[in-house]
Amino acid sequence: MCNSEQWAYHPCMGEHSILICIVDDDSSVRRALGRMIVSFGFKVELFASASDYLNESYLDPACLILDVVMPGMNGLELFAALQESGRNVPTVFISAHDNAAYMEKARSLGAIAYLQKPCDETVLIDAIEKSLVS
Amino acid sequence: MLAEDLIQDMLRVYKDLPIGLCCFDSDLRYIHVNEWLAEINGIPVEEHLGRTIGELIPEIAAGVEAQFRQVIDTGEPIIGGTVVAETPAQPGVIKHFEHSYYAIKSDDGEVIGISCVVQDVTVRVEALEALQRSRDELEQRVEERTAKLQIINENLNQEIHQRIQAEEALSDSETRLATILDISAEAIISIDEDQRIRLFNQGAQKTFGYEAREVIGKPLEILLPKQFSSVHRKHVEKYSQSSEPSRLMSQRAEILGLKKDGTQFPATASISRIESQGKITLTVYLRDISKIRKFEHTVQKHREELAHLNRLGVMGEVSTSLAHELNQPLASVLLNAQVLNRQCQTGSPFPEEGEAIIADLISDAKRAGEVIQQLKVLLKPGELHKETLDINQIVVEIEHLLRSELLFHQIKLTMELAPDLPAVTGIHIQMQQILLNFIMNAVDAMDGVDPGDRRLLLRTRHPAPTEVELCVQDSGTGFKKKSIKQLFKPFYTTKKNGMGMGLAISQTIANNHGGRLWAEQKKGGGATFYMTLPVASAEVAAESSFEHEHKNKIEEPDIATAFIVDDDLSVLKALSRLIESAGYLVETFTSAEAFLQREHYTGYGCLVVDLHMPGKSGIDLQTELNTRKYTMPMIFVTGAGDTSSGVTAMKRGAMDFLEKPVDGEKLLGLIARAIKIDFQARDHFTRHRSAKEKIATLTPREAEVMELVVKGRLNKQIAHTLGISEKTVKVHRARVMQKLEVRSLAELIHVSGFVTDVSRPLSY
Repeated sequence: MCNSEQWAYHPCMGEHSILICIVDDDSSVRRALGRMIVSFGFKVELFASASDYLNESYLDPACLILDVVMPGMNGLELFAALQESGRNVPTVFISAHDNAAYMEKARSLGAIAYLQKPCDETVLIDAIEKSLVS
Repeated sequence: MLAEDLIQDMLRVYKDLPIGLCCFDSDLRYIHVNEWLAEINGIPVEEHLGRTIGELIPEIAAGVEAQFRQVIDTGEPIIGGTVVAETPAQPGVIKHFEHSYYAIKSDDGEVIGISCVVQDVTVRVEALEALQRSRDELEQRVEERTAKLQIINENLNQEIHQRIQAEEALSDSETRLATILDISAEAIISIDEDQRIRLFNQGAQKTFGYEAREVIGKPLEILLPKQFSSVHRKHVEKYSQSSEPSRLMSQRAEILGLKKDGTQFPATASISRIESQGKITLTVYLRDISKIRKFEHTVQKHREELAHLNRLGVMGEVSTSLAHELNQPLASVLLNAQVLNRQCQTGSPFPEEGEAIIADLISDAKRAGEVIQQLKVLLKPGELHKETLDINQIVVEIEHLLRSELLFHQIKLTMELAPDLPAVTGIHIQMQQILLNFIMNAVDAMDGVDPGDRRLLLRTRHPAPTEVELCVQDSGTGFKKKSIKQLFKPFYTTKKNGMGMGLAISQTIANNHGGRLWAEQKKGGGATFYMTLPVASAEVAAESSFEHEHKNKIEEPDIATAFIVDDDLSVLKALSRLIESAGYLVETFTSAEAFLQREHYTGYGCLVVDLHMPGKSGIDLQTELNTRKYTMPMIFVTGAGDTSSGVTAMKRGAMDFLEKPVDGEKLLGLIARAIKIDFQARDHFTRHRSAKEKIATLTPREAEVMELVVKGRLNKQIAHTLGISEKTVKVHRARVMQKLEVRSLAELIHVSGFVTDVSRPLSY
């Protein structure tokens, strides 16, 4: 059973059929991010929690956009877990908290970027492009 | 011989005397002895002669002969000697003799013999002794009596002394008392049976501003505001007839005193009665408490400020999560707006998607707004009115606020909220404050705990019929047993930057609400904080929720028109511009007739009419409109200085009037008031009318249910009374609310109260 929220209106599968996965517990932010990514021309899959994402082990996204503070496993823990299991995916963190400790942790784990909410579309697209070339 | 002759003569003379006479020669031999003495001695006369005493009366001889020798040797007599002896004449009887020895001298002075005179003084001695004895006795008796008397005297003296002391002391203390009473800061006023002032101490003088002489003899009422006089008099009379020694006068209501200068002041007073010699004296002890009241007020304000600071402090701690709460919706808004922007630029191929995006934009903006609202509520110094509250709802509100804070600290939250938790009466932000304090304490307590073990439980219960309980349990480091008592004391804190007031303030709040706050150490680590509150009483619940509802009601219509009637065009122009700028629609008429020709206006509005116009005047217009039962409020504009016409107009029903030149602000204020009045009057009217109609649509069963609901019965009870299931009652109840278009019990009561006669009489 698929736990991801499928986009209701699939745009053309995107000129690039590049998959980007988004994990954020806030439904409104999740939807908005999804729309933004789609409008960039990517394919997107949305997840409400780290465990939801982990369950879809078959997915192989080109980039992962993670919220940090979430109930259950948080974004940083998810990132670390993925690395340990060898599922390395270029990851961009996007958080409502500007906590220095988190930022440092993300950096040390090798995240592509740590963005602050609210975040401008250009900042987001820059980070994604950076992920794609890495 | 001459001597012998003498002796013979002497003998002859003294023969008959009861005296003993005898003579001795220088050898101490009896020469002569008289019969008396011979009898005493118990020896015949003849046997005496030529013998010594030693031979005849050996018992007395020794002492006597010594004395004889002395007389012979000295030639001087020995007079008044005594002998005590038994005599042969009366053996066994002790006799006393008094004797004197004289020397018998020859012509040439040589002592040739001794003559003795002996007297039996036994009787005399005995008498003397008896006398002495009785004298002694007397003396003793006298002594005793004297001693007794002395003691009595002493006692009496002591008593007198004591009495004097007591009197002095009394006089001292009376003086002191009088002084104390007099100088006492408390007002002490004594009144007689007619309630006239008899005593008015310095304290009373200072308090009331009268000198004693000004009030002595006057009735007590002069010290009270007029409206309390008769009631007070009755109370005092009643009290003076009762047997209570004293009574507090201000138990039910605050007493108000009236000073000489006419100002009133709050006071606390008590009254006592003394009965002496049939007369009753009542004394009133009064204290001006206006300072205390002020102080209380200040203290209350300080408390509120402190509570406010506490809220600010706590909110500061919560700022991380607040930032989070605002950042999330803002992030959505930005993303969605930029998406929409893109779509617009490329020509949106997804119109429905566009709607969804806009819907999200709106809801997120509102979401951010709510967070700010909540913030505002908690940061404001405080609206402190009591209302009906649902503790469950408060838990949900605070959980919402702190959700991200808890997430951030990786705390697992569980909520166990009792269903059907009864409402409590309280101050909304204060309840939130307590819960906020509890939770933030828990968050801190769990700081040192492993992230995987951080658990927070929020639970509400209904442990007793009159109690609602809220508890917050954490899995933190707990506290030392000693600290439990300290916890709720001000300034106790284990935080570096903590003020330590949170729990102390929370406890004060809980106490003010008639509830309790306490903490318990949990077995196995962690702490539980409890708060209990009394369940709201039904009347209070209905009242306060109604008040609340009423406060939030719309008081003004969205659209209203002002009708200006004035023959002066420039005035019309100016007024219409002013009134339009305030957001009203305006219609202008140059005459009353012109207005009357206009169609009857059914919307909300008011009239601004110039009193003095050619043709029909403002008053005429008013009369005409009254006849037509036109209910639109009227504001009259009169000439400068002409208030009497304005007053007349008001007597006839005008809402108010203004003098020229018209004050714009005042006019707008009056118009606003007029519109409100019009709106509320008509709304009330239509609501009243339709309430009747609405109630008429109820089915018999629904009407029954409504009756009982309005009486305050619980669903269970209604079910029992009507013989139906509780579920059915709920259904009927919901339908009633729906048909009458009310949303709460209070509104229902209000609406049903409108109806005074329906086909089915409602019994209360």
